[in-house]
Amino acid sequence: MRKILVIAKREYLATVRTRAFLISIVLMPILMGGGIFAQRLLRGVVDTGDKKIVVIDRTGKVLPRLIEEAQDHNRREIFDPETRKQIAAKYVIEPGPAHDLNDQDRLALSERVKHREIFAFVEIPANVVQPSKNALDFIKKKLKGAIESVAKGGPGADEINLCSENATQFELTRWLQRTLNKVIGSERLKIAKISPELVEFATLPIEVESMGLYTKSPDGQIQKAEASNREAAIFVPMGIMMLMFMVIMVAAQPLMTSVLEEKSLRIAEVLLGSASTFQIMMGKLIGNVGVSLTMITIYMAGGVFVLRYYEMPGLLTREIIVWFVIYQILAIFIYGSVFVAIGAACSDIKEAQSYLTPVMLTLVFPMMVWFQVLRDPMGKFATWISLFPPCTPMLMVMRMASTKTLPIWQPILGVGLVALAVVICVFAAGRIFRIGLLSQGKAPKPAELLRWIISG
Amino acid sequence: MYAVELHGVTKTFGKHTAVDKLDLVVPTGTVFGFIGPNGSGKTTTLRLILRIFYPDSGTVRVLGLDHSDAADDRLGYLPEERGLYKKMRVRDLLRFYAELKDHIQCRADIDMWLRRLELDDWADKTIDTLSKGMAQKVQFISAVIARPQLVILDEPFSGLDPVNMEVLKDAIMELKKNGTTVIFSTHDMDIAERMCDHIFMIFRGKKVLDGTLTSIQAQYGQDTIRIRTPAANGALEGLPGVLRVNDYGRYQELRMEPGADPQAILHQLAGRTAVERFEIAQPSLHDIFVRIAGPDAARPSDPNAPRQESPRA
Repeated sequence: MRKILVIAKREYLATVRTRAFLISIVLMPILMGGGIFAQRLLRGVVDTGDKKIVVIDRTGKVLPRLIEEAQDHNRREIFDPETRKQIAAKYVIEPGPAHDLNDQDRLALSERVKHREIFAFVEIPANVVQPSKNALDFIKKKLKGAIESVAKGGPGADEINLCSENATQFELTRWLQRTLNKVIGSERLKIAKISPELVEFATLPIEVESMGLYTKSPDGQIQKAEASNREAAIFVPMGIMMLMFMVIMVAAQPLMTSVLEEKSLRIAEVLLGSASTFQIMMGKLIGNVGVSLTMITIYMAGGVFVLRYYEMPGLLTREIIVWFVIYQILAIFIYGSVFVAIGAACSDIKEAQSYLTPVMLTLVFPMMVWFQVLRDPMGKFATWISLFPPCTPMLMVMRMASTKTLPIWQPILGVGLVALAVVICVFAAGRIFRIGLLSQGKAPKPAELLRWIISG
Repeated sequence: MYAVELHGVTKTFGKHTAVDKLDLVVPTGTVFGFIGPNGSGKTTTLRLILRIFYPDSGTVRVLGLDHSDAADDRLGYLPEERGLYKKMRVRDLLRFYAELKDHIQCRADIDMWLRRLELDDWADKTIDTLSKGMAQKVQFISAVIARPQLVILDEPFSGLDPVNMEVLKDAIMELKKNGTTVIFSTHDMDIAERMCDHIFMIFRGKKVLDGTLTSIQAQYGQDTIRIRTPAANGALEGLPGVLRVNDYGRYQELRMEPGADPQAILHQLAGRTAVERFEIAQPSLHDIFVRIAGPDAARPSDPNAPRQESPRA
């Protein structure tokens, strides 16, 4: 046991001191904390300069209302409610030419945009209050001319053009769309002689709140469901799976390079003179379990901190963390022993690549199906795929994080199956390790590897 | 009492017989030299003693134990040229190897050895910053740090300058004084002659020499004459009673036919050129090595026998 620990310690230190590990450790808090920080920071750096928009209104009715709405926006929507700091741009509406535009006029306006005199220009066609052709067809079919007055004068415009230099002006586009629809909609109601207030009342939206489930606490009290956050409900399980994937990559893959080094530098012979192959392999695996636990501690602490910050600590419960650690350790044993075997069988990285491909595919497989699994975590597909040992660690923990109703037999059966896979992998890898460690030259073919495993 | 006993040991790799029915005993407390051309089975034999390899037939007995696996804390091993983690610091590496052999309180020993081999300034440097000779010394320390009873060194002197060679030689001699058995392989016949109590030569998997330097040289008798003459090599051609002339530039070595009279040869020689030096001697180990393994040596029955390093799998 002592020798296993000596080897484990060396392996741990050797991995922890690599650049890849340091980067992964430093990067995570930066990404997690930085996300929050960047959000706060960027709120301050949005362009809060006035945005002048030239509006060419051929209806003669929309422009005054739009100016009102813009003033309303400038008064109410551009300040942070807490700090009173301006966080968005003011919209300044400038009336455009009173005549119909030709392309020459449009070019002139575009030039003004280019010279930063104005931010954008909007053309509102005269017939925009009229329903479009599609809408007319709809009215004719469904309403059988009930609102003939609206339809008088033929079909109206389908769209309103907003011209600006930057096509990704989501905020402005969204505001204009919302406001213009409101203004034009009320104009249409006027024509149809329907009270806009009545319509507003009838169409007042109802929210559907996404809630968790009612649970029973240990003392028999029924706990009310809490509102759940949809984004977080997806992000946390996915993040957990990604974390496990990353830990396997950062912690277990160096095993392969270290075995390759020991082989090519004949360190293997010295090691064999001091410890059995089983001790050497176990030492390596345990050292890497240590590496993975180090990473998990840092990342989980970061995760808990971030969730606290967003006031959603319930998404990462103690049970999930415990299961995560169990599955992570088992995953390190499975993939670690496979990486050890590859390192022992090959004599350089290039050779190892060909054996690495199927392993990598298995490792990223959960990434390809995670969305299907998360969409219906209790479904047949999710259940079966998460009981397939190479995928179990990542997918089972992800399912546990996404639903509270997972029957407990599933993660337990999962651990059993993965443990069985660990025994098989460690045994097979041990045989390959023992033979491969001293073999030089060309890497064995898969059939030969199989022979090593079977006959020892 | 023997530290190592090999009886009838054969090891084959595929069709190639690396070691063929080898018998070998290494007395405890001796410095035992392994010589032989590249690919003749030296490293395989060392690995058999280390029990990294198991023989196909025959018995290997090391420090009194017949069957034991490779892990043996009483053994120290220096593999040829390498065997060190590149990214580790010298001191960390030595501690790792010591602890691996269950030598836990190793700090004082590490300091002592680093000082002795003049490496104390490099204790906190990583291996990949060391020169070849320094790395070789670190490797030597790693083989002996756990105070083994038997040390096996594969080419310990390769890459060392004469000063470091002396340092290492003294260290090995001190191990011997403390009762440690040392087996090392070398291509340097001069070192083998000077250091080894016992010399063992393997050629094409078979034992060809086994004994003390004196006993080996006695087998060949005083059949060598070392001379120095100002004459060109041509002056030595066709001397009656001389089998072969070996010109080293500064002196020449003549190998006599069995039963030839050295005085007659001197007489002949004096007739051809001035003789500045004339000495009847036993053949050097170098000469014996070349006689056995050189191009003039009798070819074995199988001319296709591979000479390259054994395929180790």
